[in-house]
Amino acid sequence: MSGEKLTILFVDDEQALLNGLRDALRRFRRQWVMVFALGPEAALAELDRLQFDAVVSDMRMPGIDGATFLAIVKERQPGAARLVLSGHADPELIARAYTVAHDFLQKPCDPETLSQAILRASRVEGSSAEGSE
Amino acid sequence: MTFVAFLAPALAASAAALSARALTRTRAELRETSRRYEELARRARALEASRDRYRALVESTQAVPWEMGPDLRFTYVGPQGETLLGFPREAWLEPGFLAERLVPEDARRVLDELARVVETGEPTIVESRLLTRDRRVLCVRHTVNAAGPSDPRRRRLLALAADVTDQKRLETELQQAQRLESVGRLAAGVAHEINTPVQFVSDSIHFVRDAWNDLDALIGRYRALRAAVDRGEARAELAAELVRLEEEVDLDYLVTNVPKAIERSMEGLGRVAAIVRSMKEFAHPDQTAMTRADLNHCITTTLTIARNEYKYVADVETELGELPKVLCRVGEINQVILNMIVNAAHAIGDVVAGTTQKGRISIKTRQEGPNALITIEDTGAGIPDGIRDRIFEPFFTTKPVGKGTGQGLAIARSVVVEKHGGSLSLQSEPGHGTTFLIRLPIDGPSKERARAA
Repeated sequence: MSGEKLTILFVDDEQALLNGLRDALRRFRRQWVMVFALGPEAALAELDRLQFDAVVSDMRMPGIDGATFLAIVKERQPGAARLVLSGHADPELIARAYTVAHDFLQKPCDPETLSQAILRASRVEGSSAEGSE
Repeated sequence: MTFVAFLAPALAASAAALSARALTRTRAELRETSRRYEELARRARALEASRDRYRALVESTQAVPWEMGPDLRFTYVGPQGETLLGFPREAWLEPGFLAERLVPEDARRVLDELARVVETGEPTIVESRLLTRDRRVLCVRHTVNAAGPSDPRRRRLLALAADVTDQKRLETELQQAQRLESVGRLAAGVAHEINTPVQFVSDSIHFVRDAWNDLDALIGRYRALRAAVDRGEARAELAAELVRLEEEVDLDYLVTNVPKAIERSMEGLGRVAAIVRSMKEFAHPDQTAMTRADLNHCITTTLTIARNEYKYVADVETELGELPKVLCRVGEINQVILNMIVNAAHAIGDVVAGTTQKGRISIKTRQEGPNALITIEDTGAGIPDGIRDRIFEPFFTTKPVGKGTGQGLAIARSVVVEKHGGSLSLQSEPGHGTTFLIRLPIDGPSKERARAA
């Protein structure tokens, strides 16, 4: 394992959900730098600040929804793997998500599944992720 | 020649003339009489034909024509009456027949209403449930008019009684279908409302397990250190290793965050429980009898399960005042409140779509004399004057196909006005929003009706 850490952004409009993810994914603290943004506005600010290897976003959020937000990520940081973690499972939403996301995960999703999906997607997408795993 | 003989020819002549004249006249009279007779006969035939036509008309309708005297005893019933209830017409004419056929819960109301028509002469429409001879219950709607002199003691009631059982059943089914439709749509939203807390509760528990594994390792070292102290050989290396291990597991983080994770889990489980409880309360099994219900609680419950319908577009404010419990069918009232909230959210959604703005839904309750008043106000686009009268019509909708069946407000009206004797009105200012006002008589519909009468 090289010293290179993955930088990952998590976006949700619920603070408790972000706190849960932060705690559950704490076991990856040596391999990952994790950033948690409450809502798409805060997430857009993080895109200005950091270069990400993966972005995990909720779908339904006030203001900009997940699909629109990930489309912005695709444009501004094309190297970042894009994942959806959504509580909604209606087919229309999933179809829309897949136009911009590499993977679609449904809540509730255990930390094991989530972390593997993040690693898989970032390996596919970014050259930056290759050396780290 | 006698005198007689002399007069005879003259007499004969005049007699002849007379009889000739009489004959002529009689013939004329006879002709006239016969003409009159024929005219009368023609009129009689016409009358008979007309009467037959009317009878055929009246007695061939689906509805049963009936007539009754001021004592509420039938004096006439069409032959359809026999088919409707299975009793011969003579049975209808017996005293007390109507009272016997009415289901007990309806008897008082129906007889009072008919007596009122006798008293006032004002026409009415009264619905009743009637028992047939083979013990089936029919819903029958009577369109009643008063006839005869202004003296109520000699007034008669004329009516057409229509069997609306199938219509009633369809109305019930339609309402049921609309309810299932909205519950179905809610289910997707409720799933999300549940999935979110389940996600963070599950994450928090995973964390607590990881934390326990770390702490377990640490405790092992603490015990080893204590054993060493007991043996009087406390060594600096052991203490140094502990410090290193504490740093490795980030003990400070665990001490701060494990209690928070436990709090979060309990909060999340509480949220799931509240949603499940609300769902159960909302989907109240249909009861036929009315019970006393806390409308403020109904509103809170409905807001909980409909949260996903509005939370992205609107903030909800409630101002729930002191209200006595209201006699109603809770399931139906929940349905009305839900329809109103969903409508308000859609109205706001159309305005704030594509922006980061949110609208506001305000729900207030208070007592207003004998009524409970619920107002539901939104900051949507309002309802244009042109369609304001039509929004309560069944199948009227301005929403795109798939977003609404146009039943929501029609059913709200039917529930509030027809089933609960309340009123449903609205104030709308195009561009600023709409306020719906629901008034429900606290003591239920029947008392309310008696008061109005």
